[in-house]
Amino acid sequence: MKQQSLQKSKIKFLLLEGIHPSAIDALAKAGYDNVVCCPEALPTEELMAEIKDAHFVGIRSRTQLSAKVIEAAPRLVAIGCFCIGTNQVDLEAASRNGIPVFNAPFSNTRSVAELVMTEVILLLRGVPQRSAAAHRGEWQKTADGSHECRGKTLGIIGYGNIGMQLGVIAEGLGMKVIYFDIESKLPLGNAQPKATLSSLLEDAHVVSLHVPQHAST
Amino acid sequence: MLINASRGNVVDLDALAEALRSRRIGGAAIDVFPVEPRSNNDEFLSPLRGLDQCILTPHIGGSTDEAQENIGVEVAEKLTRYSDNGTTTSAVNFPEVALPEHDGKHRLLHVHQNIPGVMSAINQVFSENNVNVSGQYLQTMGDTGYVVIDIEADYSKVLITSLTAIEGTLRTRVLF
Repeated sequence: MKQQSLQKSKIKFLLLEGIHPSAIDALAKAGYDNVVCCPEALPTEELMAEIKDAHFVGIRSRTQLSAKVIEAAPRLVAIGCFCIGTNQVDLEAASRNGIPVFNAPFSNTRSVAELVMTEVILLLRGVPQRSAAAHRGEWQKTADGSHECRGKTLGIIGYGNIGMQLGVIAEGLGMKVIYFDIESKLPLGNAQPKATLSSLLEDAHVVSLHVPQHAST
Repeated sequence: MLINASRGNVVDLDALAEALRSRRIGGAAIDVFPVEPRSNNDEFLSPLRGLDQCILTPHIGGSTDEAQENIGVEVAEKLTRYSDNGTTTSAVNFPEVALPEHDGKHRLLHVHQNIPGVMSAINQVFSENNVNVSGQYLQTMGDTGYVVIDIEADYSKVLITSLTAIEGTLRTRVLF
């Protein structure tokens, strides 16, 4: 067997908050089987006891990794946020202690795009207001103002991972796709870039936002 | 029609509520909000409540079992890559270094405060110990510096002790 700097079985992974079993499989595939799992977030005292000898910790959004907790983990090599946001981690304390923090910014791309696509159809058909009315006992059967999505124009603001995925799905349903992005992006399918935000707003029947949080947005 | 499933602060919800009431916008679907309830037990407050032509969802755009599964793999792989190889690509708080394989070589990882003098102290350790460096990768971000050094010699305790003793050192690790 190849000699290694530190035996993988001695490298402890602490996974909290019921992280998906796919993570354990991926760790096993890479040879790491010293994994301690916990279905819940731990209160600070218990967390500090568990993290003391951990080399890696995996959390979701509920575990607060404060400077105090990070400093109680002398062996900690890296932190994995098994979610999108990283507000629950004191990032500065982590860098101060030489610990990188990783997250999963792109894993939900398809899920978001699918939800948005269904909402495009629901809105074009006036479903939300008719459903709400029906709950109140009102019967709003009419074709007025209802449209198929086929042939309509979807304007995507922010043509990143999610915006592109949405564009592909929308074209599959026969929509015309236009997009605006501050960087020049190669279009997928027959999507067409627009030079300005206002020209996109002029041409689009439905507008969907896929932009980061930033002073300019 | 307007859809926002990106970030809560990018739409002025008072203006949107007004545009929906005046029918200038036909309908909307909003999944993210400037202020969201801290837990499922807290009340959701928004100027859009009560507008039937607006779909309101509690920030569930990415909340599916499939996304959770993808997240498990994506983050686990980033952790094992850092553990095995030292690569920090896409870290949120840390200098990003993408590293090649290091078969047959010893790799030293040195995380330090981004202050003048650290790199020259590191290089001095190698020259004093007569160790040939075959590859060196440095990146800094804010107050943190991260340098990875591949050496042809076998790693020695003396070397790592000297590297750890350098002022400004935060973490050191050896991979082989």
